[in-house]
Amino acid sequence: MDAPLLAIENLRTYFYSRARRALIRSVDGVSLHVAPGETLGIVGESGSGKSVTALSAAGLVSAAPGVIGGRIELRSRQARRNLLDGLERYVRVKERDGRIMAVEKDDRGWRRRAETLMKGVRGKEIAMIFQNPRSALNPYSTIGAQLVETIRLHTSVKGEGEARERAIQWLERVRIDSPRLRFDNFPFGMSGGMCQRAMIAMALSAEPSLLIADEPTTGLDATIQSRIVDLLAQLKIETGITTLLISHDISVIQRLADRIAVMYGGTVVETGRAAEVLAPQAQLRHPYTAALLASVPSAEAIRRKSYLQAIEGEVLDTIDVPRGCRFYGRCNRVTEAIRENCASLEPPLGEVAPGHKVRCWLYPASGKA
Amino acid sequence: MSHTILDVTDLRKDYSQRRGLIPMLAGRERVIPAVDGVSFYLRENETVGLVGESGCGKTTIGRTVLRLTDPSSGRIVFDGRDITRLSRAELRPLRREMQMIFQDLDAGLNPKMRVHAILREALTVYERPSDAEIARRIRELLEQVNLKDSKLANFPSQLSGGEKRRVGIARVLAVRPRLIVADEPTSALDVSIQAQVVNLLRDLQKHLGLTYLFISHDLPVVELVSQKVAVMYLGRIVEMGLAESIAHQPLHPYTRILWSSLADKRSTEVNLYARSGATAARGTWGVFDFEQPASGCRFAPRCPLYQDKGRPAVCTDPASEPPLRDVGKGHVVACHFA
Repeated sequence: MDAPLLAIENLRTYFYSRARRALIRSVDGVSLHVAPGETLGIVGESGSGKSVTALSAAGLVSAAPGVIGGRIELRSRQARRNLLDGLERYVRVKERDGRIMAVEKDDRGWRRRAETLMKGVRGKEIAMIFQNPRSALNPYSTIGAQLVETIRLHTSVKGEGEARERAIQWLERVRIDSPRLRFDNFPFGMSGGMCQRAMIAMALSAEPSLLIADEPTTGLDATIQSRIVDLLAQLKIETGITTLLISHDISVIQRLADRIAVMYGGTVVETGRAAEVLAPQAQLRHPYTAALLASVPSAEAIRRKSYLQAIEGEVLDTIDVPRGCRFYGRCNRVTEAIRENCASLEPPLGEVAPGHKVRCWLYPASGKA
Repeated sequence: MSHTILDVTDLRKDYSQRRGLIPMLAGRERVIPAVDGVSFYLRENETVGLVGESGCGKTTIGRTVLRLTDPSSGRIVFDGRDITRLSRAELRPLRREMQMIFQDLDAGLNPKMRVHAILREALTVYERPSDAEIARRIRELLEQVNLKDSKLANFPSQLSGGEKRRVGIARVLAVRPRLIVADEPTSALDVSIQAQVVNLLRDLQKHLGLTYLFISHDLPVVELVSQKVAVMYLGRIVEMGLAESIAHQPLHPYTRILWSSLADKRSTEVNLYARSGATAARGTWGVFDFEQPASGCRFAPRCPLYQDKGRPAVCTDPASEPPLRDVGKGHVVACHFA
C-alpha cells in the first residue's frame, strides 16, 4: 500500500454537555488511513462520530473543548504536516482509570496555532462538500462568481476570463445543463440536486488533494441521490481524487468506497476492503455491521412480508460510555464464553484477515492485537 | 371485502404564489397546482403507500384528506360521510378518528411538557376520564409503543429520536383513531431505529385494525408495509396498483426510474459502476417545474420512453394529458405507451 495521504491517529474530539455537566466523547480514539486515489467510506448512525471525525480533519470543529488529542497527518504534494502539530501543549486532561474526566484547554492559543497549521490546507488541499449544499453556498453571489473566486484563489489560473472558462468547464464536468446560463444563477433558483452539483464543482475546482464528502446525498430525492452517486463515481475515475466519504446510507458507501470504516459510539468497530466487509456471505463481521446490513429490507423480506430485523435499544449515548464493548447492550451475538469480557473490557481492533479489522471479542484475533 | 374508509375523488389543491403587491392587484397571481386531480380510496385495515419525489404533492394530499388544509376542489368521503366542506366544529368529532404522524419528530411534542403530561393531554382532548382511567390508559399506551415507564418524567429534549417517535405515535393512539396518515414516519430516524418503528407500525395495525396512508420516499419500506402503492409525479398519480406489481412490473416510465434508482443502490456488485464508468441511459434530467408544466404528459420532458419513441406528438399534445387507464387487477397507469 502507498503511504497514506491522510493518516488519522488516535483522534479524540470531545464536547461538553452543559445540561448534563459531562463530556460527550464524540470521537474517542479513532485511527484511519486514506491512501492516495482511494475512497474511504465511513458509515455509522447519528452520534457515531463519523461527521465529527471529518470536521476535525478539516479543522472545522469550533465548539469547546473540541479536538483534544491525536495526530492528523496530511502528506500531499503541497503540504506535509501533522495538522495537530504542537497543539498538545494547549490542552491538559485529567484522567482517572485511563479515562479522560476533565479537559482544560487554552482555546485562544489552540485556535491561533490551528489556523496557522490549516493555512493553505483547508479549501485548497482539503475540500469539503456537505449535506446541505444550499447552506454552504453563498446566497448573495452567483454560482459562477463563487467558482471563479475559488479557482483564482486556489489554482494557478489567475486571469478573470480564464477562470471563467475554467468555471464553465467545471459546471460541465458535474453535468449541469446549459452551464453558461447556470453560471449567472443564484443558489436559490436551483434545485437541491443542482446545488449539490455546484458544490461538488466548487470543491473540486480548487484541485484539492483530499475531498471530504459529508453525507453528500442525504436530503436529496431518491432519483437525484442515485444521480449524485453516479456523478461522484464518474468524477472519481476522471480525477482520481482521494476521498473521505461519510454516509449513514450503507448503499451509498457500497457503491463508492474502496475501503470502509464502520463507526459506533465514537470508535471504529470494523474496517477493511468494502467488497470484503459488505460481501453478503461474509462470516467475519462485527455484529453491529451485520445488524446494520440486516435492518435494510431485503427483497426476500419484502416478498414474505416478514418483520424487519431491528437492532434493539437506542444508539449509544456518548456521554455514558460503558466500560466494556460499546455495542454490548444491543448486541445479539454475546456468548457465555465472552460475556465477561464484553461487559467489562473494550475489545481492541484486531485483524481477522489481512487488512480486515474487527473490534469484537468474538474473534480470537482481537485479543492478540 | 372490508369497507371503504376513505374515498377521494378528483382532489385538487392550488397554492397561490403572490409576487409583490402590484402583480397581485393586477390579478397576476400565479397558481401552483400542488395536487392536480387525484382519486384513490383506502379500505379499512389496509395500507396504501404514496411515493414520489419531494414537491410532488404527497404531503399536501395527506394534509388535505384530513382537512388540515382545505381542498380547492374535489370530494373527500370519510367513512361514508362527505367531509369536503364540513366546518371546523363539524369536523371536530371526526378529527379523533383520523390522525397524522408528522415527519418532524418534535411536531406535537410540547418542549415544556413532560411525556406524562403530553399523553395526559392527548387522552383528555375528547373525553373526561378519571385519574385512574388515565393512569391505566397511559400504561397501555406505553406498552403499545414499547416505551419504558421511566421516560414519562422526561421532557422531549431528553429523548432520543426513536423515543420521540414512539411518544408521537402514543399521542396519536391516545384518541383511538381509525385512519392514520403517516407522513415520512421513519425518515428522520437512524437506520437501526427505522426498522423498529416500521415493525411497530405494522404491529399496531394488526392489533388495532388501523388504516394507514403511508407517505414515504423509502421505496423498500413502502413496498413492505403497503398493500397498494400510488406513485405521484407533479401533483398527479401516474401509476397505482398492488405493491408487488408496482415494484416488480412497473408500467409507467417514471415508476421504472424510481425503482431502478433503488436497484442501483441495492446492487451487490460492489463498486461495479465506479470501476466500469458506464453511463446508464435514463433519459435527460432537467429540473422539474410546476411553474411551467409541459403541455400534454407532464413527465415527457424527463421521459426516456418519449426519447426512445422519437418524441411522439401525442406526448406533448396539450389536449391529451394521458388519463389513468385500467390495465387489469386494479392496476392503473397514466402513459400513452405503457
